[in-house]
Amino acid sequence: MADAKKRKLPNGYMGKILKVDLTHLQFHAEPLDSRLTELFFGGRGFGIAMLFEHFLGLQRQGKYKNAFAEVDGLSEDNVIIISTSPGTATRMPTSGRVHMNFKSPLTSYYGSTNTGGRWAVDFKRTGFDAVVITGKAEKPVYLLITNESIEFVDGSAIFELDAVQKRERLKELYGPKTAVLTIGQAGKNLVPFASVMSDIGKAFGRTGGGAVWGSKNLQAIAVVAGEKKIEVAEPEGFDSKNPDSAMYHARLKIDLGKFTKRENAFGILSSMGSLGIMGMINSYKQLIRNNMKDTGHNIDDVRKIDGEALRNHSKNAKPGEKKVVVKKGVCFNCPIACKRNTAVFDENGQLIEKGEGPEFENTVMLGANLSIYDLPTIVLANYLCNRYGLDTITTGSTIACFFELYEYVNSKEQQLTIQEKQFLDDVKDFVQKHGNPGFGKPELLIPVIHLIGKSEGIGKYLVMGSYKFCERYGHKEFSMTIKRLELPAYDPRTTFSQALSYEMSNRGGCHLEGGYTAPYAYCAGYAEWPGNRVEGTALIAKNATLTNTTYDIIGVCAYNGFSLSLDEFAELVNAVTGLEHNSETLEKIAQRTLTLERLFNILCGLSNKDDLLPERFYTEAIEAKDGPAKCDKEAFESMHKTYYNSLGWDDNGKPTEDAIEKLQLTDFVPEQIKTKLK
Amino acid sequence: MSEQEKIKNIYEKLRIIGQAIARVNGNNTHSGNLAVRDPEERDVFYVTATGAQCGALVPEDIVPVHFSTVSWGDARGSTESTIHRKILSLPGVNAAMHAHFLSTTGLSFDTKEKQLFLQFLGQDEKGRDKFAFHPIDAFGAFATGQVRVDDFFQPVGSTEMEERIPKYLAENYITIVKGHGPFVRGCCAEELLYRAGVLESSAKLAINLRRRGIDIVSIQKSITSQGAGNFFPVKAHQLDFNSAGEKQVQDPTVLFDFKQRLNYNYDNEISAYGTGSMSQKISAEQMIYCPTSAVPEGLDFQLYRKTIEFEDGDSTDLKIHKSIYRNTQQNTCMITTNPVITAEAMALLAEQFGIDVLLCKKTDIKYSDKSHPSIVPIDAEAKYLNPRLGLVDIHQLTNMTADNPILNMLRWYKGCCVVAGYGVISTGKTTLEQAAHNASSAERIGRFRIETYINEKLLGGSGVKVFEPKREKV
Repeated sequence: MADAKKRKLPNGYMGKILKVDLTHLQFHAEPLDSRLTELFFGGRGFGIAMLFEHFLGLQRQGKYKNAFAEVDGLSEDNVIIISTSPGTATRMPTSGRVHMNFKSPLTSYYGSTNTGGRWAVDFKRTGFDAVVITGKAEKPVYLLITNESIEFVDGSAIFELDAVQKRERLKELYGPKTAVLTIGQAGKNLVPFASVMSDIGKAFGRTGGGAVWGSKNLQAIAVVAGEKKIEVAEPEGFDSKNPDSAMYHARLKIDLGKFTKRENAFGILSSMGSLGIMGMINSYKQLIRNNMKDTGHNIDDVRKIDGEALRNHSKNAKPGEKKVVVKKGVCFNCPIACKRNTAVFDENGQLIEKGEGPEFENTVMLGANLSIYDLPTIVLANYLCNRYGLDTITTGSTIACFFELYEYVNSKEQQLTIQEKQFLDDVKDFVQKHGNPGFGKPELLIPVIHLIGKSEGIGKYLVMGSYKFCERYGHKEFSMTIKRLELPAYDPRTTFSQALSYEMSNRGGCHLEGGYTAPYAYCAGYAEWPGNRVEGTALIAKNATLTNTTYDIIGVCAYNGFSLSLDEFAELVNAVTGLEHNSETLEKIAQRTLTLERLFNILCGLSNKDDLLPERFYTEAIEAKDGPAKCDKEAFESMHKTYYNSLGWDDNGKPTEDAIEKLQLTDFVPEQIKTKLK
Repeated sequence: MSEQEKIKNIYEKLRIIGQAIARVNGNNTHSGNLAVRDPEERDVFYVTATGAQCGALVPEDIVPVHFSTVSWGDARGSTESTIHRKILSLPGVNAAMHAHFLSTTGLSFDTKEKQLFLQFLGQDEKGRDKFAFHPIDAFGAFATGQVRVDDFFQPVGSTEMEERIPKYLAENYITIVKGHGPFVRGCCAEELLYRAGVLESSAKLAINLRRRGIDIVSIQKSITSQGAGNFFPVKAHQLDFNSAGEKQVQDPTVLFDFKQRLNYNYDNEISAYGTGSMSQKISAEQMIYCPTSAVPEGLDFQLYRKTIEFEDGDSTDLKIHKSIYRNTQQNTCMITTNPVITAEAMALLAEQFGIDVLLCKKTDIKYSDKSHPSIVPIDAEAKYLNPRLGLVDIHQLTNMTADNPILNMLRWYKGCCVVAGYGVISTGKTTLEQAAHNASSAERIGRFRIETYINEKLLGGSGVKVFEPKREKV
């Protein structure tokens, strides 16, 4: 990698990486290394390659014995890498996705997050494939990127604004076509789970990228729409009227797929947004409740906040009730149109606020998991998280553990530990103002989010994330995290393949990067996989991990996966690049990416003991469709080995030398690093 | 009925229907879909899930979907839910099905340049080919009528299908998507199986008859122009869904006997569900009569006590049973509709007497003991057990006198006579099983003859005559 090879790049790449040094307020463009494109392709692949290289560089400087482990997520030695893919900004469906990597201040491991919208398209059209941001500005700044140049602009004028206000101000300044990434007060306050917002409600949500921005005094990146064209290898491949074209094949499947087809054909995502899946998830007992204690929702409650409820809310709201009005929204070049632009009106019909969302995850984490079934409140809470720039999954999960902890400690009549007493003391002010924290109290949701966003009151501790919050008070068992990242909406006890994917995700408890298999139990057609099956599940999970990793690498939305296979994506990729990929070659790149991510984590201090679900899922059974269900730890540990081995890792989850060599990672993993892995 | 019970009943019914389709290889492991209306909630219907194994449905495979609005069920229900939604919206329609029956689909591979099985009706305004298939056997002709067979630009789950298929089904029970398979509508789930099963049988008959060298398209054109009621000299009865499960007999041994025969006939494709009939004479005056000869496991059937006196309103089948009991020593009778032997019978008659006999024109056929048509088996077991099968033209079904040649055929040929274009009449002295064996044997006789004929034409094999027994019985 150090020696850039001067091979001609495939089509789709701009051929340049923007390198930004915030310490010295300088930038330069570097040629894109063809070997990087060959081995890592783009998106998340680029991200880990450059992340690893950055930390290797720190290592070589001699500043650290082990830079990976010692560099804090909020240190100026951390890095921000934002990567597009060759398909970005082309006619490839859903090609507006973009990936961001850094070391996570929340988990202290691999930080990784992905978003949609418009920003990546406009950024790439300024002439760059990726941007790498190092150092720390002395004062708050934002970047203004136009065709092949950037400006460092004094950010003090926007410093106190929330993420949405920042976006609006920058659009006022630079024009309505300006695409903006911003942080809110959460990022400014270095909340470890702060997100970076794209448009109003799309987010680089998970693992705390917003805090990394805040630690570097980076407030926003504004892109004035670039004009450069992206040349594809086979334009005829995108002719949707040609039955032999990749686009025709893809559109046929998308237009017939139940999740992805149009609203007038009763397509789920188009008709109801991502919330459309809630009814089905609940009927399969996967919908979490009360800090993932169980899935025992009352169906009438779920019907107040599911996709049908959101779609029909303004029609069904009675006079004197709050009302949510919904309009469809769409990301760049997306035929699915799952976005919801919403507005909440009060009991008198006056507009309270408008914004984007909610999505399925928001609604569960800020709603169902807290036993809150008040849709307008959930929508407003989601807006608030967007303004503060907070990851809604971590926010919701942290609030859930706060409620459960309080209910537990408060019910203890005697023998409180010192930490528990500390907790009651810390929460005293909240209780006085708002009453006892607990599930089923929608009136608490907004006040708690404000406290987190402003890092005030109990919020000072909630901002640590659920893991450190619960650790502070001696009750880590209430933190629903893996690798310190909060789990999302699907209960693992009713879907072992998803449970395994949660455990194996390199960024932590995540249903996307580790593979999305929860729906395999009920809408995968003849690929349906029983939720409680052990034999063979490890390979199912591994395949799903490779698939979802591939989406992040080629820069497409995972929702396409409901309709398109990787071979169909490969056709599109080949039409862009002129290469000859198929599902196997793309999965090889994904395996390489995953292995390097795993190496990064191991160097940060991860072991296979971190690949475990919270104890609750091994010890507390829930009522599933076929009877009581919980995860068997021994069975899972056996599945871990199968999973690791299937990726060429040893029984403890360490990539072997053989795997490193076969995946052509030898250049990335010099001897000095290999010794640290032993 | 509670909500749970209602859904359990719906699931059970669809499970049985799905299994019945699988038994006749009407789908591959995962193709096809079924849908029924909720009997109480007008805005709800239930459809099988995408990727469900129709032949092995589990409760989770039945998905509730709304007519008026999208819901989570749309995520799991079949890709063709939108088509079912429109079909079920037709007046009187409570059930809809799509399947991939092999012969029904197989005969749709005609082109406008070359028609083996279908009538070409021209092209529509978008240049799509239009065809039709009319069953040329009596049961098929009356049960399904002419069936549209249409070309689609996108023949899988498309809006094109959504727009056109319900229109065709407003006019007929079944429509075939060219190269894909039939869509069927019905008042109940049983009707779906009945109509599709009869069509499948008729399709198989047509294919086999065409392979025997007979121009079936000309027969279809004749039926279409005259109408089935005028073309056929008798009417074939249809399954009556209003009387489903009606029974005038309670004896469990009798019920078991009939059920076993009905299920076995269905499983072995001796007869199509809802066609034909079977009976047992129980006294000088009475018989126990079932107005069908095949029913899949799990579905109900009617069983009546009938006098052997002729009555107004007797169906063609019932008259045949009565005629047999009034004039012979037989005590059991089955009329089955196996398409293979029926096709072979039609081919033999046409070879001997010309195509007019299949156009139901009165033809001068002698049925004396010295000279009459028959079917000669070529397989060893049949040569041993049924040296010949009787063969008559369909006009003989209008003759219910003691002179009816069918009665002699049954006497001469161990209780088996094939009526070209109608079916197989088989009898037994004592048990229904005897009649069943004759019917089953007839199927194989027909199959081996047709296969050998095809092998001769396609592969230069030895002709059927080489294998017929050398000495004449008559």
